[in-house]
Amino acid sequence: MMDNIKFGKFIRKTRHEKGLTQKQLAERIHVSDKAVSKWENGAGFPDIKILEPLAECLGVSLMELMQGERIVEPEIDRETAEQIVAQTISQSGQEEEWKRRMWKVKLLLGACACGIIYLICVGIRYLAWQEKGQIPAKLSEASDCLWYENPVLFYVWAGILVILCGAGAVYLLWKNESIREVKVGRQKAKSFLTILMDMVVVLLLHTYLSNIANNEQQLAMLPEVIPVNAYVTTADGSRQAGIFIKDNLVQGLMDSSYVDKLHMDVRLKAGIDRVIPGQWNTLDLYLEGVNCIEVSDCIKESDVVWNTGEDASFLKGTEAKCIVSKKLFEKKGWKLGERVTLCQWYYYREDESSLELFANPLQTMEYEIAGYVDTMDKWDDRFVVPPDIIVPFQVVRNCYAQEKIPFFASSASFELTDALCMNEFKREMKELGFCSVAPTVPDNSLNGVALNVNDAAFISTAEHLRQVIDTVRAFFPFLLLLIVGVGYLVTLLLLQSRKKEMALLRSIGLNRRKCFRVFFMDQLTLVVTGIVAGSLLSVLIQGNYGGNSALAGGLVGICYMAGNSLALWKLLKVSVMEALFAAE
Amino acid sequence: MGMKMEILRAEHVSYSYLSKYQKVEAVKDVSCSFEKGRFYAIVGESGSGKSTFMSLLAGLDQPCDGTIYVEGEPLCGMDRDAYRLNRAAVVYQAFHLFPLLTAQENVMLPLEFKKMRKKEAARQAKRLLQRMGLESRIYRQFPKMMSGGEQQRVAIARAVAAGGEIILADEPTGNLDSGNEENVVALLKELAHEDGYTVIVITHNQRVADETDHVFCMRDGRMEQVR
Repeated sequence: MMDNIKFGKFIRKTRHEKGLTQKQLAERIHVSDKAVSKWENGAGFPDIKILEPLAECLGVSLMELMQGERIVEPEIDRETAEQIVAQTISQSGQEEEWKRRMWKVKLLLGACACGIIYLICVGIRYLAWQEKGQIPAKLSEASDCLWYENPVLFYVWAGILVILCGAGAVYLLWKNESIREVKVGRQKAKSFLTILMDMVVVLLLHTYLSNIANNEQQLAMLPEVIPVNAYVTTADGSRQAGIFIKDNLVQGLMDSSYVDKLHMDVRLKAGIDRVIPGQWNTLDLYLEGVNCIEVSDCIKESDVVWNTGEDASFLKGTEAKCIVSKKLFEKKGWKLGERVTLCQWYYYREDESSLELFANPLQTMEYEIAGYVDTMDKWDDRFVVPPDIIVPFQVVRNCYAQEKIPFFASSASFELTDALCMNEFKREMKELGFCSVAPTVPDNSLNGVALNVNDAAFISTAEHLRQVIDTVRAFFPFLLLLIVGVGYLVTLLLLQSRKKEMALLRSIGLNRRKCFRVFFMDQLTLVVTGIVAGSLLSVLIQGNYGGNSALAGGLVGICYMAGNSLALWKLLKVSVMEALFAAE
Repeated sequence: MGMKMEILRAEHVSYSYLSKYQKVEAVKDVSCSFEKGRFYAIVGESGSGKSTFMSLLAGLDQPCDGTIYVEGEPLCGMDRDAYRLNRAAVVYQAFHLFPLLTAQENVMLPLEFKKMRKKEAARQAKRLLQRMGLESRIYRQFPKMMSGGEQQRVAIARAVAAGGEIILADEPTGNLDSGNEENVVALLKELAHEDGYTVIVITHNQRVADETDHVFCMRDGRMEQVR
């Protein structure tokens, strides 16, 4: 093998003969002075392309340069020349191969680092998706989605990528870099302790993150578990049906994004065909306009005998159809699908503070009988009598608008879409004109102006959960610092006895940076093993195949290795003289 | 004996350090030179500064004053890690072999640092161990299974493996019996006279000093050439 030392000495000697400094020589052949110093110390070999200009600068032949000495004989035989050239090419090739390998290693390590950071970001995103319930319950469902749409698949691919890159980098380094001297496998006890420590830390962090995630999930699901409902009442909360709710409030509730399952009704009087003033027996029917059949808790869609092709959906719209009581249906001898003419009269008050009700004609309309129902007698007692006829709410409202009469709804109740937006909801209702119920202030009117919101249980539970989450979360930065501390202390304690090895590596000629890298890779192998084992164990124990394991693993990896690196750097400051030389 | 080239030269080298708030001048204004292919001894009492001076020659620290030259180039201007890898090597009294590497792996280490292929490094390490007179059964043994003499010869093989020119030995026979001591000294002498190494040993042992070509004596940090 070509002797680097001999080669280096020859360059130095001929350089001195030429009266050149390293810097001057470097400038002439367009390399750095560090490269020249490296060659002269035998620590490297120039690229094959530089040999000729180098020989020219030094005033020697290419053959002399490659042989590392002046050639005395005028000619050398072909075989010797070929041997010299082959050795030089091989030497230069080794350098090139080393540089190429180091680029691959750097690329792989960079990919590995990006992969870990990516995993952490996806982990955080995954938890957010999990909160919204967008994660498929089973892994088998994941295959239906495109891989980039589904966080589980994303994770799997990213995880495979990181493991491959990491394994590739470690393999390349192991093959050619001097990490074998630390012999991870031969330090059985210390290696096992490091792996065990990492497993435990990953398990603990995973438990911590899962605890936060579970509480957040409970909080997100709270509106479903404890739905918050509200209804419009009089100012003192004493009445919630048969009241007068202004049209602007009705419209506000219909338009609000915080209102769900809005149930409204409006009460009227009606007569069939015509009403004769003075003959009030011709105005003896109670008509109710509702926007869905669930307005009454007693009547279900399945209780109604429907005409063919009919169901309760017409109540949401403006079709002139109706549901009649069976008693009325049989009394009048009506048939399903028959059209009946109803004279509608509305209730009004002479002033808003009055409790006395009067009625006036509203509009006469024809309705098609969509069905009849037998359970009118079981109508719930909400200070009103059960209706004889049920028509769509909006049809009645349109009649008011056509006759230019101010519309009032008789009752309104609903659920909140997102109870977690309680404050925004209350602000909006206040802006509409609703007030809070004031039970201590008696109200003898029928004005539906207050909102009674049943949120006590929800608020109490939500506040408790929020407190728990905030308290646990507050520890997060300290937890990360603790992991850094654990990494620092464990490394310091376990590697204390290897300070002499570090000093010895330094004395043999490995610089501090390379020495650091050797031990860092050694520790990284152990830490990654511990993290993978800990993550798998946490998945098995907690049954969560998702984000928390990878997030915990990634965070432990970064924080533990940060502490580990600090400890390594401290240990590498060992004085070689003190560590190795005989005591004076 | 022909003219030998100078390889190491110390000019007015001084070194001091702080020890419990007291300044200790370990090396005071030492000037000396060492030639290729010679065997040197530095003798002196404990605390005279021999080991400190040797560590300066090894580039493990820099002198506070003065300069050390390696073939005319100042050591302070070099990459001292590369210097120790390629040109100078240290042999210790306590051998300091890597406990978890075999004898062969210990010798391969500097070669691997120089990016030699594993097979070639293994071949060269075997050759060196043979040269040191070690049996083949030793090659795959761990240091704790070897005798003191065997360990020291492995350490010398490791020092020679990188192909440098200077061997600095700090009390290489301090932990050896007389039989092994003679073997090790003979080996170092052979490396100097036949292989052209500059071998510098620190020793308290007069028998070892007698085997060398030149002797320096250090007293209270100062050096004088005795022979």
